[in-house]
Amino acid sequence: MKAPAVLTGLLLTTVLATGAVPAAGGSLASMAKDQGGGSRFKMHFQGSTSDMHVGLIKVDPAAGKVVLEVFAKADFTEPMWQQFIISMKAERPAIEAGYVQVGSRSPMTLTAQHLAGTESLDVNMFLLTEAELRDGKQKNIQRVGQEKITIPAGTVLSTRYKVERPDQKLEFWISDEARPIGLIRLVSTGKKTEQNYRLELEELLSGLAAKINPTKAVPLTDEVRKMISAPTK
Amino acid sequence: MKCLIVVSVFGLLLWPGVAWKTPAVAADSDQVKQLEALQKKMQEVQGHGPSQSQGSLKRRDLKGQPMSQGGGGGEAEGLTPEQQQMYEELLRSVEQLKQNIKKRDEALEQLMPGSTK
Repeated sequence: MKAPAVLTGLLLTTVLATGAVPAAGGSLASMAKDQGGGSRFKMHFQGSTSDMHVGLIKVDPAAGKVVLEVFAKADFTEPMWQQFIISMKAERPAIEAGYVQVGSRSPMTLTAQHLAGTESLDVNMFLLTEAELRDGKQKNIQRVGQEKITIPAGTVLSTRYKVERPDQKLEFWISDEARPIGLIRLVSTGKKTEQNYRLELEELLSGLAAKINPTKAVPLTDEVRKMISAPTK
Repeated sequence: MKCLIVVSVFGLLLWPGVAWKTPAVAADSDQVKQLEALQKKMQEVQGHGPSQSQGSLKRRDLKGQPMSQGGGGGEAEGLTPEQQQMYEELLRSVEQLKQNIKKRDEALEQLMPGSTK
């Protein structure tokens, strides 16, 4: 029997809640109170479960940037961290840079192609503002309604959204109580095996520090390049 | 106006190939099950202490550590002596099992090339 690959094609939606200040810098300043906060998820995929964490590592109002870091570990695999620098200067957030670290290897710089997304999923689809979520302005994302759901972290009132694509359906639940990440549950269903997975919040985290030091990043090696899926662009 | 930004941590999309491969034969073995059970226990030990509640959701303070398995920094800090001993024993058991699985896969690979890929 060939063992299933784990953590394939996961799309994790992160929510950053900012304050009531119109200017981008001001919004980031109010977001700073959430720095170091994050969420620990359990991913269910093909009968396996994996640990997965997402954290808001840094908020830099002066530079108009936030830093997110993701950690993932499945059984019999090396741990992986990924870090993303997100510019908040424009009307909409934009991924400025990304890094990956696998096990004890040096951190490596992700290419622009990798930052654009993989497996036919457009990253920009998930770069949303609250207004876009509320008003449904962002194409493909539909607000289903409010639901009280129970996940391992507890029972919470959340808002349910869905994204339907020709070959894949994503549903996700977001709650203000789960700041700064916000995601409570995500369910993906699709024709391909790797499109079927479920993610649920286990607990909220605080006091997080960065694992990846971008100043030590080296170019992506062939070994690690092979570990990550082919970019879409 | 409050602004809520949803960002895809698409990095997770990049995982498909992260060599998340389990040796084919090992997947069904007792040793693997043992290893899984031990790793689960290790996570429990590493994630020592009850999660603190704030609001309706569980919460944990990592106190300046990076994210890693079990939600902590990968170090079994702050454990009681009993927990520390249990952690170290589990760690040794896991390493031993990993070595056993590796040796068996190497032997299988010699007998049947490609069988553990």
